[in-house]
Amino acid sequence: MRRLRRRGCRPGVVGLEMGRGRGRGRGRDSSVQLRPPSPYRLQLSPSRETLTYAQAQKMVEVDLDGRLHRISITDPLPVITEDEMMAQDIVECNSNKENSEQTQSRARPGRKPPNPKGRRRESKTSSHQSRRSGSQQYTQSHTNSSQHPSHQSPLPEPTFRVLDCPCPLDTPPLPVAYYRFVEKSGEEQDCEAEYDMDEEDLAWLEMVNQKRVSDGHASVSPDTFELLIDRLERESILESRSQALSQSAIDEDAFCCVCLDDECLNSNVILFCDICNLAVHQECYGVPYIPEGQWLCRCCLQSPSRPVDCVLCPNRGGAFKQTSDGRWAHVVCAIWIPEVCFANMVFLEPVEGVKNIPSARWKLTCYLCKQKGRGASIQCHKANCYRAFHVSCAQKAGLFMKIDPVRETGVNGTTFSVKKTAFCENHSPVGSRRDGSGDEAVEGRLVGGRGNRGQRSYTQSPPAPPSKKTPKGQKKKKGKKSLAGQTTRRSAVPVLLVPQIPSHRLNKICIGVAVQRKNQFIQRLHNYWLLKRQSRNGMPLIRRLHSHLQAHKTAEQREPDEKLCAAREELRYWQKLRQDLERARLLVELVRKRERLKREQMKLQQAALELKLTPALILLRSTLDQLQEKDAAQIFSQPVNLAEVPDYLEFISKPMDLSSMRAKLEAHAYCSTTDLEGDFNLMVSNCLRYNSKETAFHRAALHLREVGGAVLRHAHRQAQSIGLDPSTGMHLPDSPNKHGFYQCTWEDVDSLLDPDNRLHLSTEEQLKALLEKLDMVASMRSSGGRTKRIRLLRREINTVTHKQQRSQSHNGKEEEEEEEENGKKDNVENSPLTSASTPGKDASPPTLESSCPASSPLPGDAPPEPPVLGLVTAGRRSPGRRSPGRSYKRQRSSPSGGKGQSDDDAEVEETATPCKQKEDSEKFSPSQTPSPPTNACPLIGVGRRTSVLFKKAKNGARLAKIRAAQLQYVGTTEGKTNGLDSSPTIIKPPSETALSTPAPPPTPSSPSSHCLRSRGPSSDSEGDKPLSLVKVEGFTNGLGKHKDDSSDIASNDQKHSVPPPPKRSRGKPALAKVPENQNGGSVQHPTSLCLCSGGSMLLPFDSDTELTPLDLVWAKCRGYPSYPAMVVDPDMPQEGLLHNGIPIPVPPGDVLKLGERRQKETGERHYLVLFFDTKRTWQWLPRDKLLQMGMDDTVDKLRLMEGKKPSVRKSVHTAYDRAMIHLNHVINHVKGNLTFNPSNFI
Amino acid sequence: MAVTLPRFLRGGIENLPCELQRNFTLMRDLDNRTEEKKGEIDKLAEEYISSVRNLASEQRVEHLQKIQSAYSKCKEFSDDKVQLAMQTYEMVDKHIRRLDADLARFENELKEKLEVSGYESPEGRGLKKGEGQGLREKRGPKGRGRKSSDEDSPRKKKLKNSPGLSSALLPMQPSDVLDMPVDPNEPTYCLCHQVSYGEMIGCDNPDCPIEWFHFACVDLATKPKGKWFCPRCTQDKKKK
Repeated sequence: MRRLRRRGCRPGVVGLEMGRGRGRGRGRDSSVQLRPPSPYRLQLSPSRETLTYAQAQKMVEVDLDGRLHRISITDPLPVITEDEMMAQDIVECNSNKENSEQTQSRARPGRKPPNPKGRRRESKTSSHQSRRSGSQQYTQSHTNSSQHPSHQSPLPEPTFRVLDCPCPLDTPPLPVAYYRFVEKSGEEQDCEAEYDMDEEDLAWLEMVNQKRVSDGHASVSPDTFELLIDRLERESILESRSQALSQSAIDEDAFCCVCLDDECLNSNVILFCDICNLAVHQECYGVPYIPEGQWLCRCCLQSPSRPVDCVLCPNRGGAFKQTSDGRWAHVVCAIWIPEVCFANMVFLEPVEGVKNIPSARWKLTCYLCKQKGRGASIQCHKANCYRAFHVSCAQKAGLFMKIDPVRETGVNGTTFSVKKTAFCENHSPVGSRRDGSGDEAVEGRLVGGRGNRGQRSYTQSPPAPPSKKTPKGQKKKKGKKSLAGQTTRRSAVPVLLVPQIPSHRLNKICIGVAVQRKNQFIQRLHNYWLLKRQSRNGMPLIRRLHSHLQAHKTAEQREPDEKLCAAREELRYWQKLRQDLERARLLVELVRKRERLKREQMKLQQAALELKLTPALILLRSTLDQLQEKDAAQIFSQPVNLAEVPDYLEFISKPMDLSSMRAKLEAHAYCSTTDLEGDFNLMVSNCLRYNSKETAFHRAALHLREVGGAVLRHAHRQAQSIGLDPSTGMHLPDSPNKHGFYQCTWEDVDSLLDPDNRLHLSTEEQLKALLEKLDMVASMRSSGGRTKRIRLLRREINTVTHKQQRSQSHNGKEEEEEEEENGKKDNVENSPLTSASTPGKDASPPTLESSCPASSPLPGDAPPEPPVLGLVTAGRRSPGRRSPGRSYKRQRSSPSGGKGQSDDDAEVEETATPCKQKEDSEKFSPSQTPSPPTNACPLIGVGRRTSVLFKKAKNGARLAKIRAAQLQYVGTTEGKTNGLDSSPTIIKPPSETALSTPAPPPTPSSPSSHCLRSRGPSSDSEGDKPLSLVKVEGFTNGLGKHKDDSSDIASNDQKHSVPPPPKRSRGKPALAKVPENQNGGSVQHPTSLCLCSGGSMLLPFDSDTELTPLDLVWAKCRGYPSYPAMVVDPDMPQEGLLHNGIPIPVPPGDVLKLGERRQKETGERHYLVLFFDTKRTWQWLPRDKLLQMGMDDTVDKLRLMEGKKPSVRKSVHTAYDRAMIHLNHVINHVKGNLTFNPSNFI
Repeated sequence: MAVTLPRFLRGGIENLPCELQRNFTLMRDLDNRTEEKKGEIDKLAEEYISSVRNLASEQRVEHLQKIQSAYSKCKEFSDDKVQLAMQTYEMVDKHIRRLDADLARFENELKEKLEVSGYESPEGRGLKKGEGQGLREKRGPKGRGRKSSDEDSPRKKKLKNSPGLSSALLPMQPSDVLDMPVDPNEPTYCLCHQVSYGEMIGCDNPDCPIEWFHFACVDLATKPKGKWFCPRCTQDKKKK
């Protein structure tokens, strides 16, 4: 590539060279044919004039040494060897009668192997024959003589002899596959000596060894020698590398001092002299190939000792070439001075034609340096401008000098293939005098025009030549060929060429070598090595290392900034650190996760151990939790505060509550569920005993008993299935019946449903079995069969319950007689609760009686009580939410004690009612009629409880019977006597009358002066007590024995509710109905198994009691909180209605129509309500949206607080107040009209 | 000019290994104690089982309380361990975050430095002369040329190198972190049980079993305001 390009660049030069070569006559074949020199025929050769044309055609003329030789072409031309030629020469010379001395002097160089340099010089100079000195002419003649064919000597006989060394071709060549080259790694190569000795080394080593042997030392083996040389090489490489690093920066700002350009192409790089640091382009200095090792400019190479001066200009420094006569000239000068040219256009040397420069040129005075007669100047190319200047001066001054490549001019083979123009300062084209970039941009390549560069590259030599090379340790010189500086120059060379190796390194090198008299030898070896390197121009002896170095250098040159490199390293290091940290973080994260898991495991383990050690405790605990959940109002959660109800302990000897149960539980006081159940029942019975039936607490207790019973049953079953050891509270070794729990088939249920199948069982047992089955069935997956069976079971349970009740009432009757004497003793016997509770019962009634002396069976007894209750209720307000429990309990206590008699007829009535209701209900009649009338012994608490009441109530029942002229007693007795056969028809009428007839009396009484909240109690206390009690009992029974009768009761109530309004058109059926409704509602509930009638007052939306017109209710419309409203009979007369003298608004027609439509749509009954809002709006609402108002204070309060927004709450409040006012009005009216029960208002 | 990262980091990365070591030792200590307690508990439990029949209820309670207290001790230890682990994590995390910040700074400075040194280097000189384009073009091949004719002495040629220093240095950096070998034990997170990547969000339930979620897996694009609970914890909460 490079070559091609160069050729392409300078075709003219090549052509010129060719021509010259021919001209010189060095090519033997061409020149021989033209004019073969045949000296011995010279004499024979005829003169040209005598030759005929034909002869002339066959003759070759050779002009040799001024004489013309003619050689016939037919003559055979002999081949002569050098020796023959030599001999011939001598002969010839002798024959030519030349000086024999000359011959000898000439013969000597001929024998020696010619020095290549000398040869080159001679051959170069040979073309200038005319100017040769005598000795040179001899050489010339010698060269020419070599071309003389020596006819006299015969052709040389080839001589050879057969060597008897074994032929290496014995072994057949191996296939290529066997040869494999494994390149050694750098480390491996570092370990072994790569250097190979050459003859010189061998000779030296032999010499040294001879000396050593003579001195009595062991000789040094060639291996050691090689190793040491190798090490030295390595050290030098290292050394030079470090030097190179420091030097590399120097070279950067360099430009070629010939063309003053710093352009550096691949094919035309800038070279630096290793000594004088001269920078030249390859092409500008004629270095077609970059040499290995060091490169020296010509003057450093050939005249290292003295600075050279240009023959053509007075300036020093710059790129020199030798002229053909051995002097020196600048390359630039040679280029610019027209008469001068280069002999070889590739190597650009030697400079020729200095002699041809006309003297006029020598005489020109350079206008720049003002020196005359020193060097040859050129003149401004501008026409008529004769200013002269030295080329180098012009360069220095930055004159305009331009070389245009003009190739076509080089047809005739002249050196001037380019057009050169140089102008003096005055005539420089615009812009060129500013030695800036402008000229280059305009005119392309310029030589000169860059003053500062030129100035830097030249120094003026002759008068006071401060050469540019002085930094290299040169001395100033005055004469052109002074020899003064020689030594210094020389000494500078090796220092630069061969890096010095510090002595400590040297010592290190020889550590591993065992040689006697080591130091001396190493010193010698080092010197030898230095000399050898010098002799090789500083070329490394081991190539690989050098190229290695180059590679290193290139790599390093990539990052000349060491700091940057270090920073990079550092960055890499930190990034690595970052990765490590990331890994650490990962690890720690794992640790964290693991520890969290361990913690979880620990917790689980604890739970597991707990389960293992105290499974019973856990079961009981969960059971207790469930029980507590059922006690939503938290009536039972804490012990009764004796400070609030000081007389509590008078009635209850063993108070119990959930918290103390829990404490006992935690203290491991319970071993099994039965223990827990015992306490639970105690708690409930306590409550039931202390609180009157009408109180919320009583109801709550009843409800809790129902719900809790289920929970306990479940717990019991669980305990059984788990297999708990009651003594340890731990699991039994083997769980007894894993599959028994909640596993039953439809067959079991069906068989149980068949009354005949359980004939052998007592009613209590039957009930239990039925309940269990019900639980099981309820726990099954829902399906058609399940719901059906649940219904059947419920019905069955109901019948059994009723049977039980009946039997109980029967029992009660039987015991009645004794009861009259015993009083409360019955309680003791009959109490289903723990025996402990009986004493309490025993105790309580008397005390209460003492406080309420009126224990007479007469209904008149009741009146004294209300005040007490009133007080109580008042007191109960104050303690807030929890206190009500207590106060109610207390209230409860008063009726239970003081009203034992009234309880009695309630019981009578109650026993009657269910039966009657059953009869009433058409749907259930078939199933109910066959209900077994077996007398159940009262096992269940509920039953006993009722029986107790029943016993107590018998007096009251009688009284009630007397007073109300009812047939109840008859009915009950009948029922009792009849036992199984008690016909419903008989019972039914009485009960109806019982329900309807007693109602009127209480109603007036109940509207006490107090507001609604006291209504419940007041009704209790009044003469209607029997009735209300009846109701309550009825419903409790219903709850206990359950189900079925619900809907009939509801319908019953409907019946009841319908009559009242007509009956007492201005009466207050609402109040009278309250208990009834509740009764109905609560009885309805069992169907849903959510036996919350007791807690209905406390549970927001539970009350399903039938509502009668003019009742005050909380009505819940969607999107609004519960709002006080009044139920209005839609069938009321259109002309209006007065309720206790208070006018009731008449519903508009469209409202009525809407109600009808709505009822039709939904299929259920809707009540027409009138809100107590300012607009008195109407609404139709289903039953479940209505809640009796005034049943319980807390409920009302809850309702009042229901609104989320304060404004809404306020409006509810006002509506409530309005409702209260309405109620008061109504009541007052009643009071005014009916002085029915003045006792109320004492 | 010479930027040293240690300047940034001298703050305590040297102590990190020590602290880690200490924390882990502590953790191990706690672990040992927990194990001891567990053994104790086992013994107690066995004792209880064997003698429960003869124990009065108070004794039982007492015994169980002993077990209970041992467990609470264990729990304490566990809590401590978790706390410690979390602390350790925070510590490492803090260091990492600081290192990240410092690295970013360092890289920036390095970049700047590269630019600066670029002006000082050979071609920087050329650029100063104002013939950037042409010179650069001329120099490009020169470098290659020297490489091919490699057998010359150090100072043979004009050494004008134009290696893209910055281009050589910078691409290495981003890839480095990504190239980290995948740890097979890397903890997994999220509903998808993948290793963490991209933006993650932490459940605000301290007892969340998963803790961290990929944004994409929980249908998030941006960080939600206020507290955020993972789908599971939300469900659990609703149940409660």
